[in-house]
Amino acid sequence: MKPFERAGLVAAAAVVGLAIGLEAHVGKNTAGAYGSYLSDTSALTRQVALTPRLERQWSQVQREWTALHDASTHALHGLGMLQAEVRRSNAAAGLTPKKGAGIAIRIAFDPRLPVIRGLRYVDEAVQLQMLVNWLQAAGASAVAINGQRLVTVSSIRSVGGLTATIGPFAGIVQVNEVPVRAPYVIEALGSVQAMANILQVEGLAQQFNILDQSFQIRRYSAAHPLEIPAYRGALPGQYAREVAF
Amino acid sequence: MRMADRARRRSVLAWTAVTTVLGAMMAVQYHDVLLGGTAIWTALPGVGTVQSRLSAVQAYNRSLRDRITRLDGQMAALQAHTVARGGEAARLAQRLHSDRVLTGATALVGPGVVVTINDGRARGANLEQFLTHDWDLRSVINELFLAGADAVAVNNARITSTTGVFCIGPLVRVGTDRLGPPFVVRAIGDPTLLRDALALPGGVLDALRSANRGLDVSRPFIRAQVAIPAAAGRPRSGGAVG
Repeated sequence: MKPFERAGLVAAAAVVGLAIGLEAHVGKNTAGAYGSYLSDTSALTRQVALTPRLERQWSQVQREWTALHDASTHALHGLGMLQAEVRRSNAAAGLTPKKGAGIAIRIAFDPRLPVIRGLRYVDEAVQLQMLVNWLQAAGASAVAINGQRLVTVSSIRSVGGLTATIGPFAGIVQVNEVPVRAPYVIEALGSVQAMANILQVEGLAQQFNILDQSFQIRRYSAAHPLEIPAYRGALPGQYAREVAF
Repeated sequence: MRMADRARRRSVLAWTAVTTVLGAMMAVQYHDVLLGGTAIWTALPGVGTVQSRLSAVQAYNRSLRDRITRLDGQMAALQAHTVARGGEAARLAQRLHSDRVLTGATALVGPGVVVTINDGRARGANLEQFLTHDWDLRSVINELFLAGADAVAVNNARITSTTGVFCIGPLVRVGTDRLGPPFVVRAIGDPTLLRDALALPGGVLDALRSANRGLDVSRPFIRAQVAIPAAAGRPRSGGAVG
């Protein structure tokens, strides 16, 4: 075989090899497949994390259904079961006191802080809403403001206009329609570290400090727990009907 | 002569085979480099395992969701039946219903209102001013609960006592859901009260409209049937209607 024939053969065979390789490999392993691998992995992580939650919900729904079913027959043991179930669901809904590790934040006027004029037109309810929102972001399982437990249907609103007075917060805030006034004590159960961290990262203390209010955090461990009272306001459900969809 | 021909033929065949394999290897190598050297992983058994595990876990979770949804439906009917019969069981069933509304355990329907908030159109450099922010949604949610709403949802995200509302760039995170505009806020409760609370002159919706931000805020529409999904982590439908 002459050298140019050999070179031609090598080139042709290499091209054929390339074509076969591309056909066999690229067809099966596209960028989509790689992306799909990553998305499958993260989807698997999410689904695996979801499973125990669904299993707990399934057990809970089964318990509730059994209790309700037995109670609907007016059997005595059925009523007892339903009462136990209501006690359990009351706890989940925030209708019973709750104890655990957590933090208590006290917001009070501090005369040692410098007065920054022009910054005093604040809506105290909005400031408290912001704080509660960050606590929820950090996974707080229960929150109360001046002893008023926050549940799903709770509201926080200022009564009257914005206050501009230098000194203690002078507005009136309604929590669960109950008037509360400064100094505000916000109690939250959950991961102490996570809640303290988020408040620090978001600069909550500084935000209150420029309004001449101190922002003191007291930490409670599981060994020396914080107790948050039960919600005592009106209960929802007058208009809503449960459905499965 | 024959021996020489045979040797030459063998040599041609060997060259052809070697260069073909070389070409195929080049193709694979080129493609892997394009994908950051990772595409070869997809040929490993681990990938198939991930996919089959995902399918299995998804199927199991789906079956759990279906069972929960089915039993939730049966329970709603049983609750209504028990309440109608009266007595201690009725009182407890009513309390259980309130608890389930508070915890977001099940999907709900009932009379209520729907209001839609859409981002404005940016006209200058300050884009943020025209976006719907967490505090905008929080103020509307707060007002609805203040007016006695049983339940509130933003798009498909049910609000509960542990739902935080936060801006994440141009989106808003409501609990674990990342939402983009338009933000459809649905509430179940006394429709007239809810509408009047939102539509109060100088009230929460007027404040959103008049803040010179160009937000597109609808008036609150009364609906005879507003559907609100269960809270995150509970079985939910793809989209609530209302």
